Amino acid sequence: MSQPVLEVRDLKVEFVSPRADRPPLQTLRGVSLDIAAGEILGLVGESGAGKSLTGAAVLGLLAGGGRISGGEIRFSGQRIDRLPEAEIRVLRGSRIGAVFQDPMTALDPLMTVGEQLVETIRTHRRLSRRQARDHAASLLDSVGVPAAARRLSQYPHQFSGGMRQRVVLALAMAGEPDLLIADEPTTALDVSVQAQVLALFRELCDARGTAVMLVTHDMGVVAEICDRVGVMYAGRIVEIGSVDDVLERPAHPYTEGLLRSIPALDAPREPRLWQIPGAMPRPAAVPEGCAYHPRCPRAQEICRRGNTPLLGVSMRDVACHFPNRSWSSTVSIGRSSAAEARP
Amino acid sequence: MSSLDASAARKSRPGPAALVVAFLRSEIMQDLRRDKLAMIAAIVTLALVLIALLAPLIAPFDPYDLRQVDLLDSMLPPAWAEGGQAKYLLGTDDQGRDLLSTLLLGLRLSLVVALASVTLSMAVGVSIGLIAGFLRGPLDAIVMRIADIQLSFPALLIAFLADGIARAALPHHVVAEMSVVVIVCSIALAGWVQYARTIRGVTLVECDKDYVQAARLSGTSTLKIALKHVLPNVAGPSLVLATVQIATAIVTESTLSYLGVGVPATEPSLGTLVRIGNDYLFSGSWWVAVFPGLTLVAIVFATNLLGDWLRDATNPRLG
Amino acid sequence: MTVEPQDPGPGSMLVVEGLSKSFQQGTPLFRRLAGKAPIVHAVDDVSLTIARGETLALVGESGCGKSTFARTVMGLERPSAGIIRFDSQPLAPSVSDRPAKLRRSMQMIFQDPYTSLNGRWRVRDIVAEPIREGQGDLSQSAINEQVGELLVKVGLSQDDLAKYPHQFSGGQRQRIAIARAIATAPAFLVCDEPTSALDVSVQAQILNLMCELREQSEGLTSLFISHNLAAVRHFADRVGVMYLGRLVEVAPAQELFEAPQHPYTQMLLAAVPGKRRGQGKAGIQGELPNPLAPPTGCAFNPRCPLAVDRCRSERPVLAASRLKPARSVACHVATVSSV
Repeated sequence: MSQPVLEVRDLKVEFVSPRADRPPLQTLRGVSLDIAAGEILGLVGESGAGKSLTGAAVLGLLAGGGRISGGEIRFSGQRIDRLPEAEIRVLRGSRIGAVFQDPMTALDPLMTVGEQLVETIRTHRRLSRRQARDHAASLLDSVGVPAAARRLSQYPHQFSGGMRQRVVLALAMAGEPDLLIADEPTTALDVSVQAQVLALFRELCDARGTAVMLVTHDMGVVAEICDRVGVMYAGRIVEIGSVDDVLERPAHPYTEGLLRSIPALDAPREPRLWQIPGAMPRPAAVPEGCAYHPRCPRAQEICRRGNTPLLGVSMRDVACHFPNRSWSSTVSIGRSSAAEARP
Repeated sequence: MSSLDASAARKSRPGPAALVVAFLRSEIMQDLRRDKLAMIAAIVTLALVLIALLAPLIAPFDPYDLRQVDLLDSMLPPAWAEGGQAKYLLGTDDQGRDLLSTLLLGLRLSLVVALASVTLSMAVGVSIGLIAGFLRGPLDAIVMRIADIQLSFPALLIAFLADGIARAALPHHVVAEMSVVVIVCSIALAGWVQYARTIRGVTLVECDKDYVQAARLSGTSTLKIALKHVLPNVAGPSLVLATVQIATAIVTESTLSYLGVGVPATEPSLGTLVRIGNDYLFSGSWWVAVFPGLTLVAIVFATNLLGDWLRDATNPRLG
Repeated sequence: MTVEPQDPGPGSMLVVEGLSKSFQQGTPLFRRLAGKAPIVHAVDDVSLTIARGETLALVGESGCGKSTFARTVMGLERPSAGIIRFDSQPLAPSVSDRPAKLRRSMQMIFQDPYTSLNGRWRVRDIVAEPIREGQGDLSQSAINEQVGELLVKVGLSQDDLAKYPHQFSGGQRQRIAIARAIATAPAFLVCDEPTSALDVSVQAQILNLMCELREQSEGLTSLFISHNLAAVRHFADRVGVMYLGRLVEVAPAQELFEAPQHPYTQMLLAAVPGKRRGQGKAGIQGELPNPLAPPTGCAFNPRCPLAVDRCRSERPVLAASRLKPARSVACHVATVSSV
């Protein structure tokens, strides 16, 4: 098997409090994942679970006192978690792209879209202005902006929300990155526009073999375009595997509960939705043992102490002592590739 | 239920000692302790305010008491300089008043005028800002255009004008008696715009929040919404602004006094002292101007730094 | 104009006729210089009826006017035109002009529990506000008791009375907001995107709580505003679909989700993510047009796969289907094909 584009091993991130008397806040408590070329990995979880933080850590964009306190991040085999700021910035501009929820964070309101695209293209490729402009037009065209050549001379505010996000995608793709980190890229968009932008993601990823980390809170988005999915809870990945496995045959009780609590458009209407009691703990109050045990119906004594290992359960990893194996007769049990790669 | 009430009451009404401890341990005090410059500014401000409050007790002489003043002692240099007398530590002014005592009482007067005018302009400005932000419409437009026009003139000019008009309009003996009131009002008139504009902006933002809509649905009257819902939420920004404005008020008062339209020369403020000293600066009597000037710089600098720090510390976007 | 079947009898709780709300763009000065300010018709001639005990949901994308409609009904915005009848009585346009008794029977849950609760008030004062304003002569302990009961009812505890909103999570804050909304035992409740600011697992908790409360208070009528179609399908009896300020389709929830008639409704349903690899998404195109310059004829015509010439010139009216009078749709093409 070829080397993954991104390898994250036991990544820990903590936030140093500005007040000296408070201990640093552990927000990522050991995250491991791989993304192969051409693969879209979805990272889902509730706000505060650490999914955006994982993306920010890979991008070297931890803000507000955050720092990597353990583990490693490898990009094409090369460690990037200890790179100096200048080098990670070069990497970020070229081989690792980023798309965020608010397109205006990536766009300069005072420059035309064409100028921004040309500038990005020319930092990566030796092209004349005219060639770069032609390339920019074809990029805009490829992300589905109509009348691309004409719209190059327009400013970001002249684009609608969905079109703006397409421009950001074109900008991120201009460097022909190997890895794209997309943090809630369609959350601010209307559902009909979201569908179009998601389809575009899938298309670009398939056409260029880009590896994508898609951070989202929407299981529907994951089902729509992801190949694999990691479910995060309180700073850890509790379950990671193929979308079909995880969404249709969830093994971790949190994944199970989460999926059951989402009303479906095609399931019969029940008088009540399934609900998980309680709420996810804040980083400062993560309980000992498995972080999910106070809300878990299957919790036993063993769940209340020690670390819960990531077990390989039928082509996926699950951090649970009592994963749901009821469907395991149909699928062979074995450790997934990510688990094997771990030392 | 009764035990619940009691515990709630305990929680809501801690004793004064507990309040002081809570304040010293609070986030904002921690913040202050980390910022050395702000800490020094706070200490200087506190010290100067304490000195000003205790001025009548500390001052070796009563400069307002003409019987204690001897013209023969006029323009004596500080005690350590040649020709200085030990009882006049910082020397004397042109009328033979002890400079240290005059300075202490002048500092008190300057601070009182600044505090009073800032309080007055805050009361006026916050009320106008709240009303304008709440009612919007034509009243808001008119008030804010007036504010814009006033803002295009220097605050000092406004205070100068107001002071001049008051002096011209009021009978002479009233002006003499009420000179401090006149100057407080003049400075307040120059300062209300800042509050009105800031508070109007914050009020507009707060009024668009759904808790105000929920209160309307509950049937809460507009006045009650303004006072109980919105005012507590705009109190923070106004207090921060007030701290910043104190330095401006002190400078305005001193400038007016320096120009001779402020408080009467018989009860000199820091600005008056600088003006008097200025006349003698080139005859070698530097002390009359320099000591009040230094005090002025210290208090303005300290309150300014403190105000800036408070503004940053209470701004969640920066903090 | 043909509107949906009128039921002036005691069966209808809320009757809205020809409600419009337009906003003028730009500052007064700009308006004067330009001679005329551009106008956005946020809600454009919407008529609908909500029966007693019924939950009607309004769905649509952002900017379609569903929230403005709710706020106008509640009297938080002044309507530009139209009549709102509540319990067969015409309502004053502004909430402050409505009698206290009426105000108490109409309450609202807002989208964002971070701005809908005053951060400087304690929970007991927040929840007690509508109780106090209704009857000023209640003692503090009587109010505390009532508020305590309300908090327990929404899944919080009596110990939370003296806390401030910032001590609670988003879901708990929304519970506080719900406690305030039901404090006066209203007959009509508007829920404006009550779960869209919350995490997925918490959304289920809040939706269940609202189901529970609806069952407990027999005959509670509600208007449920949401862009979450699955939640609407779970919660609502009847659904109205809005596009660019106009109602394009109204139908019983089950029928609407099983057989959407308006091309926009069909597109909206197809766009919900969750189906693998873009199945059936070929028809999804375009974005909401500029509300300052809406298309002539049917507002949806530039994005509509079925649009014919008539759709570009003549605006379709919302008409009841002859076969199924409970359903109505505003479409030239769909009406013809369904009849």
